[in-house]
Amino acid sequence: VADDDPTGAATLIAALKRWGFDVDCATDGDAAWRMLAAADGPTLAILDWMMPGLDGPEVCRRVRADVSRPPTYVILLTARAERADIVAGLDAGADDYLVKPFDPEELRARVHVGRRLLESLSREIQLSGLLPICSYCKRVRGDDNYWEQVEHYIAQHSKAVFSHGICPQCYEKAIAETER
Amino acid sequence: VDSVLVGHVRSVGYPTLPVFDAEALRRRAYGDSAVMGAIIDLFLTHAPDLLDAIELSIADSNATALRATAHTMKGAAANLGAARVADAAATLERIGLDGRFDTAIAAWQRLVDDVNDLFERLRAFRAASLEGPSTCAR
Repeated sequence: VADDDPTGAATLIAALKRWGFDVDCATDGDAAWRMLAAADGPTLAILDWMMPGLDGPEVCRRVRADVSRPPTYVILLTARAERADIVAGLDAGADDYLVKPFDPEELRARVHVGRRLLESLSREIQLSGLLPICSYCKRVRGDDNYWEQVEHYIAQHSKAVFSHGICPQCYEKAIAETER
Repeated sequence: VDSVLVGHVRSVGYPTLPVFDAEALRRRAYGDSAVMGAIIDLFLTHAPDLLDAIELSIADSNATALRATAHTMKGAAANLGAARVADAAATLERIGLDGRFDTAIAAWQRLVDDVNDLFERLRAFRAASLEGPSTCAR
């Protein structure tokens, strides 16, 4: 959470903790960016627009420009309610935009959209990352360090569904073994 | 002259705006009286500094500072359910945006009056409805 208004930040932090989040707070845009740029920085951020130092949209731009960082969901929460502001905020890289004062249930629902998207992206990244595979049996080492069948791993980490068949090479081999 | 200026710095809906909507704050705090008390105390502590900063920006005719400080006051008041103060701060924010200070003093006086009314309501509400002593006083 980044907000230079302590009352707004306190309201937001109390709500987020109620919803089960660990919350860090910055009171200006520079501190918010330092927090986000850290190696284990947050991946879900709620930023005010007008803050001392970097403003909310500039923090959004920096988040989007850093291609090495993990997927990050950013909500701009601001008292700027003009349509042009909303467009500018989203164009700067915000994923969502809410006008102060926030409605708690609407914010809760939107924050959970962010969490859902991040969890989904995180699973895809696991599938595209480095995956140790045994050169002999072709099992792969999963997230819990156990070796498992590759199809089991892929089924767990994607929406792929396996249908079982036999390829021409294995078919020839199976027939030859049967005849022997 | 003052009454003419005051007329310019009050929005059409001003008379119907609540000084303090306790239910709006209660909803945002999920009915948690400790959270409500903490938010009210934070406002009572920080609003005077914000008022000082707004006054200074008017004295310096610093439009950028006026816009930023009035904007922060607007957001803090809206979060609290204090629509009149939020409206008064929005007027000053617009003055900062336009850079035209001819109605700034009247708008500033209106904000001070509305903040004083709000402080009274907040202290009364805190004493009557919330547990624990207020952690600040002015």
